[in-house]
Amino acid sequence: MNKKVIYIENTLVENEYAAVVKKIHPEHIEFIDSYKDVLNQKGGNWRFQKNYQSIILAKRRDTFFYKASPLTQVIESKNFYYNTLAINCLFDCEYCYLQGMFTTPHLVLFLNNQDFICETRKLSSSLGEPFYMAISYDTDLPALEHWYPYCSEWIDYAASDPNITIEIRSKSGLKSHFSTKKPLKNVILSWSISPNEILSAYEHSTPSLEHRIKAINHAISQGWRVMLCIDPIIKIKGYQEIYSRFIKYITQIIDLKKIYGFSIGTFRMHTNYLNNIRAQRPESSLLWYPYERNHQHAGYPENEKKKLIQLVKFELEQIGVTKIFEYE
Amino acid sequence: MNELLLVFATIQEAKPFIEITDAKSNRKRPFIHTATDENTSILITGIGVFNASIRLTEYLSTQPLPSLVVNVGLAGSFGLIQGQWYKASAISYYDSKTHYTDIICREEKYAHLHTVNTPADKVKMAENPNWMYDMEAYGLFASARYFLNHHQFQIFKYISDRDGTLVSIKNSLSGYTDLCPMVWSGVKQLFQKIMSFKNDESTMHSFRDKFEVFCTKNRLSFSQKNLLMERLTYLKNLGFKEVVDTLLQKSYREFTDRDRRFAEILNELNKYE
Repeated sequence: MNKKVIYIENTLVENEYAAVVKKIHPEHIEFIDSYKDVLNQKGGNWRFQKNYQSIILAKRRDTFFYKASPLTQVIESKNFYYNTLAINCLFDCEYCYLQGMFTTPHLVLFLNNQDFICETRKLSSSLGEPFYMAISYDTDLPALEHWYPYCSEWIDYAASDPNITIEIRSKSGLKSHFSTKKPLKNVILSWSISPNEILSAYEHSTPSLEHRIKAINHAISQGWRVMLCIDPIIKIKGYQEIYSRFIKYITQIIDLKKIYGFSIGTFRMHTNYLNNIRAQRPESSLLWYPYERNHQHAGYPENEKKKLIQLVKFELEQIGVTKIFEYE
Repeated sequence: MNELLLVFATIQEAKPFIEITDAKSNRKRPFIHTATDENTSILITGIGVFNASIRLTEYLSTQPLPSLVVNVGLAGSFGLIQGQWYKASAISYYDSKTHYTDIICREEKYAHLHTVNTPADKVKMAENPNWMYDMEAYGLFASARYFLNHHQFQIFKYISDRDGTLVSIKNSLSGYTDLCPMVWSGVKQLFQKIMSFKNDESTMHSFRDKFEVFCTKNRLSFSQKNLLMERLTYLKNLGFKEVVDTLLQKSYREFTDRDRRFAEILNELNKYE
């Protein structure tokens, strides 16, 4: 992360960004018209820039939430939404679609979080029924909490709106975004977890499994609804044994009876993103796997996908897990 | 091999670097100097955006592409510290789209660089006191962007004056010359960073070259080529590099039918997956 120079949109007034700037403490501020001027700048090398990722402070002007993509799971509610309070991520997972979505890896933080909340409140009134909002979508929000208290503000909002269920998904081992709050039924804290073999090979710069498990156990002990995501399941050499051993391992150290549910899915990606990422990561065995392409989505061939899902599902069912959300 | 290209507007700015690198001028093209180690070249473009752009475009389209182009020179600023070196965090030029540079140096100071057509005076510079003003950078960037990635074009500027007068600029030259060895060491460090990254890319280039020859030799169709690229890269990344190299040496022209030929190639690959 490069904190030497940060970019700030001209539309932000000083009191909107002062607190964040104080925490980042950059040497130079470059004022810009729109975050897109930096984020979408072409001609750079994504992988090179990832080593020197910059921070852009911006204000979202419109589209404060989206209806979910067909590549995400439908959890609990047919009204599944997500929003982008930040764009891009501090971590560098090899299977992540973000690498192919934007032309640079720079991290955009939208500082008008209250506008997002206000628009979601309007959505809630217009729907008049329960809906699900994933708030850590094109990013890992808890990992950004020390710069802006996104999760904290959304948990406060969830306390006042019984229609909304928010999901905060993370790979972070941090606890600060929930540990000082009162647990709520309509807040799901979810963690993506993978076997160490996958984690060390493909989840670069992410916290270790042990750190994540500590945070998970802390959340459970405080009474939060916790969801575990084994997603994406990746086919590597000896995957049957690896996943089966992994699930046995987590059974030993996490009280799975207290887990709200499991979300599982295999590797999948929009074909355009996959093409972009392949050009950046010519050395990746994961990305160059001969995936099947259907309707602009790349993934394992149907029979292999089923095998992978069945394997994890079977192992989870064996230990008594009943609530399994599966990407189809 | 000229891997590093240093670009200057004037001979006065280039002189300290010509001495440090012991560069000799090209007899036919006196604005190009080549260092004795032959890894570094020095290009003198002349003053102004157009001179800068034309000379650099001409150089990049006729010479082997360098891994890094660095523009070193003087710049004016009303508010920044005189006698201090800065790197450009952004380059703007009137209404043209501002370019935001890759911030890859942790030691140097950064500032916005604005390129102007005529020397900026005190009044002009005071409009944005923390900006640097020069007369070439945007022209160089406009040219470099067609040949190189952003991180391969970097700018170091020495704040020479705050009023744009010739006298102030001339007076700053001795301070500039004194600090050039320090900048040279910064440029070399930057060059190492760029080179360590470029090495990964060059391995891929050599694989692609071999692959192209193989496909042409075996007359594969466009879709067969794409499929084969995926399979071979996957195998190579799984650790079967030797298998891939051996296959790319082979010829399958004994099979006259193209689809049969392709099926044979795939059969061979299936053994390893």
